[in-house]
Amino acid sequence: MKKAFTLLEVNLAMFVMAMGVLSMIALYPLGFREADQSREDVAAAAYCESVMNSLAAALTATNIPWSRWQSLGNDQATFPDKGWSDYFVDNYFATPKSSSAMRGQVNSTFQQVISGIGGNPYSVSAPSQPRGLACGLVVAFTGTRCAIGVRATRRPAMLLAQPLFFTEVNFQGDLDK
Amino acid sequence: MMKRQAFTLLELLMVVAVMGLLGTVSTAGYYAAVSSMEVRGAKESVASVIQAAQQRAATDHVPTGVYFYNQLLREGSVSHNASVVGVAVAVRAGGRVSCVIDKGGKYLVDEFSDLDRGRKVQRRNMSAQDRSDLNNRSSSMRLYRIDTTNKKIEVSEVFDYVVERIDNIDTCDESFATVGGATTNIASYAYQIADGTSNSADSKWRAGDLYGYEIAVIQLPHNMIFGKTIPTSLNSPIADEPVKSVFFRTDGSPRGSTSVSLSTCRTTGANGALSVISTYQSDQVDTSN
Repeated sequence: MKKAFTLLEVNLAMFVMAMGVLSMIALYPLGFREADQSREDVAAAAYCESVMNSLAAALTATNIPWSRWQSLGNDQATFPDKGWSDYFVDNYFATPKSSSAMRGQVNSTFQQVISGIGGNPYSVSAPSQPRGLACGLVVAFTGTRCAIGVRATRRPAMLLAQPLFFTEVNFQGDLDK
Repeated sequence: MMKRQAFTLLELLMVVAVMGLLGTVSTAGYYAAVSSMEVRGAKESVASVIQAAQQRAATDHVPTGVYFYNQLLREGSVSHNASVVGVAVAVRAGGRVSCVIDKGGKYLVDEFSDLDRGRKVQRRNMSAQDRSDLNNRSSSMRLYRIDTTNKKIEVSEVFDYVVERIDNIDTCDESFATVGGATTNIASYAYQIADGTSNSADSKWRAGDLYGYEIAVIQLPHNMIFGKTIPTSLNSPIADEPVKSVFFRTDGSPRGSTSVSLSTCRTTGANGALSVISTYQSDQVDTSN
């Protein structure tokens, strides 16, 4: 009758356990990476929502003069080479900018729009950006419509592959001014 | 015969192999399930907007429709692909254009609209001075031209007014605002087509046209579009590419098909280029009632 494990059995068991434990340990970095990615996705989504909503709120103010709205549209008359989209055109794909440069550009575009509508009706400001987040903002005007598109990621080269946070607002301001 | 008390190595290996196989199959199945859930969610949201239009047609006894289009947003130079957002809008008929005035701007007047029905027009600037002006202006909006004959819905960008002194904007029919030789203030809706726009409906508006406005809007997830092909034409920063329109009669019955095709796309590169992976037909709405 068999009363004990043989050395071979013990070795095999240890080998199998070691394989299992090592496999689990090997999965840790993957888990950490996924957790990081998920944290980044949440931060990027929150940031995009924040930029989009802040601009949408500012652009739906009822005291924006129609003439200012039109001039905002005219600023991009030479689209697509000029205007709010210009940072994307600036050889971005040929020479991706750093995250900080892109964040600065988003802030600049944000401020351009706010000053373009004649001030800051609801005291909105460009939301603070998580470090290392590369982001793109497009504010495009056509007639009474304004489309706002925002993307963000920690991988600048993959910016356009990220989900687009998009909304459109109609002019709600003062037609007589 | 000796009693067997342990698994053999072969048995253990078989178990491990079977577990590995099941794991592989279930992982692939998991991703397929996530993907199909997204598609199902999109189809359901499309069905819900169709249903909203149908229900509104039946409850309000007005023609309704759903306008499916892809909105394009140019994020870079012309060499870069435009971003595409699939949008569906349920449109409720608001009335008919009774006359079109093309003088100092194009006005679509609805003299016979019930001002208490439909979209609530803000009555701002009601000071005495403003009241002496021709209107109580409201905000800009998208006005939909509902062409049931050709089964098309088109859009114009307009400013909507409640016109208090219709005679001041040079009516299409002078006698309309004149009763017994005296000028009469009659409140009417009037929509002024916004300058600087070039929408497909702008030049088509005629007296008698059915117009409507949005009652529900949905956006497809970022990797889905309406139709089967990636739209490409874009000469301005933002543009709409129509895909389909569906209509409901005043009793809620559909005119023709009530489903639309939608496609899932994949981003194929850092420049945002999309390619269609699969195409689906949206859920049919039960129109049997």
